[in-house]
Amino acid sequence: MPHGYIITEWTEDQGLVVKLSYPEDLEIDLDDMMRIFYAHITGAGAAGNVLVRLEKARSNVSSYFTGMESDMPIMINLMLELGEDPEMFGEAVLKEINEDLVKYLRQMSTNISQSYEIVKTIKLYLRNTLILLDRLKNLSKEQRLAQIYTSEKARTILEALQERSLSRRELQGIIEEKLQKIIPNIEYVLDPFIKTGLLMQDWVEGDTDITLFLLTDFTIFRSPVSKLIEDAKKNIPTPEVASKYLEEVTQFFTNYKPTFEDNLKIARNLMNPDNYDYITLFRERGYPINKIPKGPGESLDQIGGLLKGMEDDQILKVIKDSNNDTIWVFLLTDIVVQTFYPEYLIEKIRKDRMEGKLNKNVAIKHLEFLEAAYKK
Amino acid sequence: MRKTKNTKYLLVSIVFLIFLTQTNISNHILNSLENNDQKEIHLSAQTQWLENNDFSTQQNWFYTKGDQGDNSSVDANISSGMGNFHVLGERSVFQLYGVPNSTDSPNWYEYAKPDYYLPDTTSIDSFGCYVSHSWNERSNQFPGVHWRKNISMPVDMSKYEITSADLDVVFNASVVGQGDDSAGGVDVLGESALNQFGIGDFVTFYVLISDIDFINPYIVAFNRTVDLGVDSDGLTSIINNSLLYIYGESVLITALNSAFEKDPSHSNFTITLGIDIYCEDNWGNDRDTFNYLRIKECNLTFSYERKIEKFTTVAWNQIGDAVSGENVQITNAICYFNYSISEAWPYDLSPFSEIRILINDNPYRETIQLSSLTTSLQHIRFEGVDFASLFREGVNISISIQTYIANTFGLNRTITISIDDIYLYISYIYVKPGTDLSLLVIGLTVGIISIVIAFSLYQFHFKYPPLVRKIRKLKKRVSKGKAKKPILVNNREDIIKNSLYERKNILIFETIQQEQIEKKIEKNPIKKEGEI
Repeated sequence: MPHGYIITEWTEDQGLVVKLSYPEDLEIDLDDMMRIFYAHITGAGAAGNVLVRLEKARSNVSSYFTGMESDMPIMINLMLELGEDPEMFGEAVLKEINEDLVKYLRQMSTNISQSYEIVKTIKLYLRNTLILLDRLKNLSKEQRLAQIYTSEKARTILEALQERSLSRRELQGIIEEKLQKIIPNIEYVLDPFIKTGLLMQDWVEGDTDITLFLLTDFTIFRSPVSKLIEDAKKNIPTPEVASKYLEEVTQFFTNYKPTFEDNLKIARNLMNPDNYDYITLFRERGYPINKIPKGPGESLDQIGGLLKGMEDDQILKVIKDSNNDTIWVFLLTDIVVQTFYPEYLIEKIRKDRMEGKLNKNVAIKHLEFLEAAYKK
Repeated sequence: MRKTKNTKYLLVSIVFLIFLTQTNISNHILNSLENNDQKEIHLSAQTQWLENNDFSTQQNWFYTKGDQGDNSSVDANISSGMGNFHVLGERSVFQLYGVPNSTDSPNWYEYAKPDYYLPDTTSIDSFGCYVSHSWNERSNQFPGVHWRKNISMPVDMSKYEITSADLDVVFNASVVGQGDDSAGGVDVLGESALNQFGIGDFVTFYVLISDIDFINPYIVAFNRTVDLGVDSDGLTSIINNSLLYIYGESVLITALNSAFEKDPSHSNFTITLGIDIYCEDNWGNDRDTFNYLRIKECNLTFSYERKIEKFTTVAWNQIGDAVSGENVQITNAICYFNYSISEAWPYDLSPFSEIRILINDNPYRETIQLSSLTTSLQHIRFEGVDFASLFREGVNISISIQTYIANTFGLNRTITISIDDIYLYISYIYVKPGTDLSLLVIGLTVGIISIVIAFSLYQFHFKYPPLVRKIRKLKKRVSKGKAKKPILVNNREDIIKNSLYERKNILIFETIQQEQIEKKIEKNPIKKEGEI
């Protein structure tokens, strides 16, 4: 579990100072702070993310720096345990958190009179963030796949391996070239692929590097919720609501065509543990808005905000029953992470081999893995 | 790993299946036979098939010689209760010795050397072959004489090998040396006051061996005088009894072999003693006087041994009855006998000669090397499936114990190989015609094969889904570098489209139903509200 956040700021007169830490008792040695700072300014650019291992604090630090050229040169340091890697939370999540924090800090610097309240808000935000990050460590398989989908790095890996099997070194080169950034530790990026069984890595005779083979592919799209459709056909919960629901769903899917942007949107919803809980809940049935189950400590407002976001993303649909004035919330579209067998690779392997793009041993090994994967 | 496991599983399954089915067939056949109270099989005792096993009489056995090699060098007989093979070795010595035309060496005849004149005086007297000659500006400057003797051997020498030969020829000579007049004597190199000297005067004594037609004679002994007649010897220069130089044993043997080879009966040759004189014309009144030139004795000795030709064979044979009957099967055969040799076989001369056993003219692979034989009786036993396979039902069983000579060599004595106490036991079964199981066996065999094929096809092919078959096929082609043909598979987009279509399919019913209702409403507007 992440230890917490330490936000430091570079000032002309005082140098590097701790601006905020959460939990408040979380401390960082000055040497370690400088080490993170040097990692930023000696890196490819002053701004951006670095991962630093701090021996003294026995932590890994995922640090985001706004840059020396920024009007507010701050570093947002997520203090992790030694074995943890930010990739496990998904780059999109951390990016969003960093952006939110920068926004708060900017408010703080421009609205000094509100600093106290803003700090309080930030701390609350960080508390929730840490809970979120902890939950992100224990994602279901479909959430992990959604996480892969939302990560640019992971998507690039997937696209590369959809073409042919590659050695780790080759893959690293391809990603770095495409994304124009250094990938220091590709093992962490590959971790969700291995855990979800998308990839198999193995040594091929004669090679000096491990080779990665795609054995399962996946895509993400929206789908009608079969359970709710079946219920609606049986006029559940009420004939009117069921009819309206069927009408809404049919209308939506008449014109539905998956797009990358929409897929990214639904993947983020799926990946978010709170949203995911509700999607799972609504897969089984629709709820009157006042009877939606709430978690301990959750307010109706909080839920409302969350559901509103999902309604805006056309995941949920609010349907009003005209007779008794009940507002029903339904899952308009389920989010399906569809894994499938990459049979298209068989022809690609043949073609690549014939064109000399693929080593014979690698080709045979990949075919062997694909054969075994199909039998499973 | 998985593949190995599958292969093992497959092999074990096939073996198990075959075992099961074969066991069933065997059991079925055996049960059928046993149910007939074993009346269908008669197992014979081991019947001894040969007569006169101990060669106690001359009956039943007969010997044959092969049609290769030299049959005359081998023989066979039955004696002392044994069957004997004789390899007929022999050694003889030819000797010619003494003074020509003496009692021991008769029939020498004189001839002029071809293209030469005879010297003044030539004869054979009690002291040997004699020549005298004097030359003084006459024509006969280099006369020559031959004394020849034709020799007939008592045998055909092509069947023998000359193993040693020796020749001793004694000669002597006397000439005028310093000269009894101003004309001088025989002149040789080294004398003083030589006038018009070239190569000087000399005499050549020699011995030739040839065929009796005197074609291509070999010189086997030779002497050309060097200092006979030297002035320092005084008036008379002499050579006392001396031996001619002999070219060597191998030349002698070669000359003799050559002579015998040219002779039609391979038994005659000619030995020739010769004296040639050369008188050099030194000056006007040169006189060369040869008082006497004599070949006194000629002693020729050679020994020869019987040649044993390779591929020569001699065998003891017996033809027995056939194992006859319609349903007879020979199941086993055992043959054993004792053997010995009169003396150790000359391994160096013929290492590969052996005793063979032939059944119905087919040799059995196991043989006995003659070099392994001893003077004591040894025992050999032939048996087993390979041996039994030489026997045929319905054919008279002939057995031959054969001595086989593998190399050509000279043998100086006769060696006898003996065999005794030969026994041949043949086991067979007699099957009475019973239930014809052939159809059942064929049917079962076809069934088994079909099951195995079907099982194999399933294990190797149909067990796998079509896509896996494609992968396995491609894997093989990639290994062989022959994966040129494109493989028909769904591309990524199609797979995703299909998945989405399937998911959306749940709504199709709704859409169709809705469309149908709308169509009905259009057709029957009056009923519209009620129906909906």
